[in-house]
Amino acid sequence: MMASDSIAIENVSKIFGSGDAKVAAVDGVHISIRKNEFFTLLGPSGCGKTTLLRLIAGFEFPTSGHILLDGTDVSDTPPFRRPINTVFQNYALFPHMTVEENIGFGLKMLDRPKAEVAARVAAMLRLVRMEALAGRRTNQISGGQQQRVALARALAPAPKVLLLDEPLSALDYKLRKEMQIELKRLQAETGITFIFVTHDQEEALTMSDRIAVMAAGKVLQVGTPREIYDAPANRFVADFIGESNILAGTVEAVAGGVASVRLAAGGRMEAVAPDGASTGPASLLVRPEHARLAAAAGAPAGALVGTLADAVYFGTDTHFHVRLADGTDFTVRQQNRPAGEAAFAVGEAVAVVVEPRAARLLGEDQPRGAVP
Amino acid sequence: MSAAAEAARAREVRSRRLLALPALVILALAAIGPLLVVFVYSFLTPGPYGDVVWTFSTDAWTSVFLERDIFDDTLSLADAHMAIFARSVMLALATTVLALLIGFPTAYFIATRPERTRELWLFLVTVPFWTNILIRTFGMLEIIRNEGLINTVLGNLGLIEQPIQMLFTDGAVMAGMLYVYLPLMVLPLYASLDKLDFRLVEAGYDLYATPFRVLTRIILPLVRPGMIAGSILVFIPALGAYVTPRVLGGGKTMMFGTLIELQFGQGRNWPLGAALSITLMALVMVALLVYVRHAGREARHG
Ligand SMILES: Nc1ncnc2c1ncn2[C@@H]1O[C@H](COP(=O)(O)OP(=O)(O)OP(=O)(O)O)[C@@H](O)[C@H]1O
Ligand SMILES: [Mg+2]
Repeated sequence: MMASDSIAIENVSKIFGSGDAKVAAVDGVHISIRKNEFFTLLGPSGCGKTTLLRLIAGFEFPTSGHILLDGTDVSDTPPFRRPINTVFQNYALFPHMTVEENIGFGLKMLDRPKAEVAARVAAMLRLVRMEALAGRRTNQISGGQQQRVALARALAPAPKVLLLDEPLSALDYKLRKEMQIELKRLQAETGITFIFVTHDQEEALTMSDRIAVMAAGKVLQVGTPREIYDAPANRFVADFIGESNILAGTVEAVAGGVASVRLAAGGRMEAVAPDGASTGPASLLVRPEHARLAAAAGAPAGALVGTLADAVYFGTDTHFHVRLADGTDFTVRQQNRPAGEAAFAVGEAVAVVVEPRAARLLGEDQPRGAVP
Repeated sequence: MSAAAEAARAREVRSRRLLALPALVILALAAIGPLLVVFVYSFLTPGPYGDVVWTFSTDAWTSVFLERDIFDDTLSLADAHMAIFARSVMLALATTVLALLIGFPTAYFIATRPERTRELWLFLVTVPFWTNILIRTFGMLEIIRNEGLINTVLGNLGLIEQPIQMLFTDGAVMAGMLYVYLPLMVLPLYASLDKLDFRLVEAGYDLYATPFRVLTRIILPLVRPGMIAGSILVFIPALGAYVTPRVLGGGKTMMFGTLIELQFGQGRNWPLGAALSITLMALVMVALLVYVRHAGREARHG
């Protein structure tokens, strides 16, 4: 725990049920989240994101481990005594109150003076641009508006930490984009620590200061979006974030952070190796945008060769699916240029040219069985 | 619309009304008919051996509320009746409030059980309905009478020397009614609580509401329709209860129901009994109107 930490989660586990039906929803999670950080929990459905958030909020209590808020252990503090507020996945607005009453509820429960509550509610209404609908019932406003009210309600008591459980999942694409920008703006303006849950990787990459990738109750990697994308710790993270090509091979030598790998698909490749990489069987990651197609004839020695199985046009770019010699599928994403580019025909033999330093040796996987 | 079409429509409406006629006749005979008889009887003169004499009189209505002094013929408020009305309303209200206080935690308990066991609990709540109300009330009698369960046990334990007089008191009547009508409170409360979104409760805790404030500011307002429905379902039969005050209240602690019965029996004053019945109905109607207005407001607020 450092002085700049807002939340420290120390070896927290949460086990539901007992006997055979036991589920470790959160399994030995150890992370610390800094003040005013936009921290995202990312992972597939059922990996324990909501449970971790509920542990931080105080709706669940850890089976083992501790949760520290600004250095104080709050593991046993009930939710109504934690200066942490939540934007619920379904918003959970009070249907028997108006927009205004919803936003003022937290401050009222803190027994703040009426004038202060009124002033703060007005400020919050302005912040989320809902002044015009202050007197409406919450079932008389649209989904996006409800989302903003939920946000204002959670921000009004000026919590130290704001928890957001997939707050944008119910919104359509355009509104979602708008709200993403709005959330970032609010985070910057209020100086509050945001812990954000999503299973949308693009959302995670664009919004977060740091991301924790979770699977089966465990945190697989914590890092900035760039770290997670460029240097995934293992195959699961690589697969989950962005598109990836995984090549099987054998490491023959490691020197100066670069591994020389003989590929199962034929040829050999230099790959960036993480610390402690050793020789032996391994997987290589190549992002689709870090490779390009070339004519098979005249391809340099050691290039990957295969057959073009499919080409899918995406407007800004085209995805080429290449079937390599050992049967692996390899996707190449190439930006579309004004006409004139050499076209490749499906069924043709092609070479895949991987940019220098684009291939990356992946670390040991977590036990795969546990990962959905 | 053309005149012909309009005529056709009118014909159709007429034939529809005609089709509804049998149902209306049965309704009139079965529901309104007897009420009409009661209404008419309340304006007749009592016969010497019960029954009525067909002479118009408002005496019955006068004596519902007023008393004629036998000496100087002046009218004054009928204290005896007023006391019985007041006791009936008070006992019915107290029963309703107690049923709410006991019924709410019960319904809350059931609504928060796991899905599988909820049905069992609900089933247990309805078990008393399987037995006739008279038998249930005599069961209560067995428990509270002077030689009954409570007094015997307390006596054998040496805690009391004289049996505690519980039977034939207002408390006995109220306890009996509470026992009989409690399921009528629990069931609508459960229906409301079952629909309650418990995520709202969590949202309340999240926003610094203590458990007590979550109860008063979130749960209670949201289950108000159930509370109102349950209260009406308990209050109305409690107000007109006959069996329970008769068995547990004895002759002394009379209530509306027993007073009415008295007029048709020993009192031999059918018009007064009829007038009292209609008074009771009016009271119930007022309670219902209050209910409908509250329920209506709730529905608008969603
Ligand atoms: N109250 C509970 N009782 C038993 N098991 C639970 C409970 N809550 C969650 N779980 C289990 O814990 C695991 C993690 O659930 P959680 O809701 O945290 O997942 P999630 O990552 O939020 O998933 P999603 O993206 O679908 O919302 C799941 O296997 C779930 O079935
Ligand atoms: Mg979830």
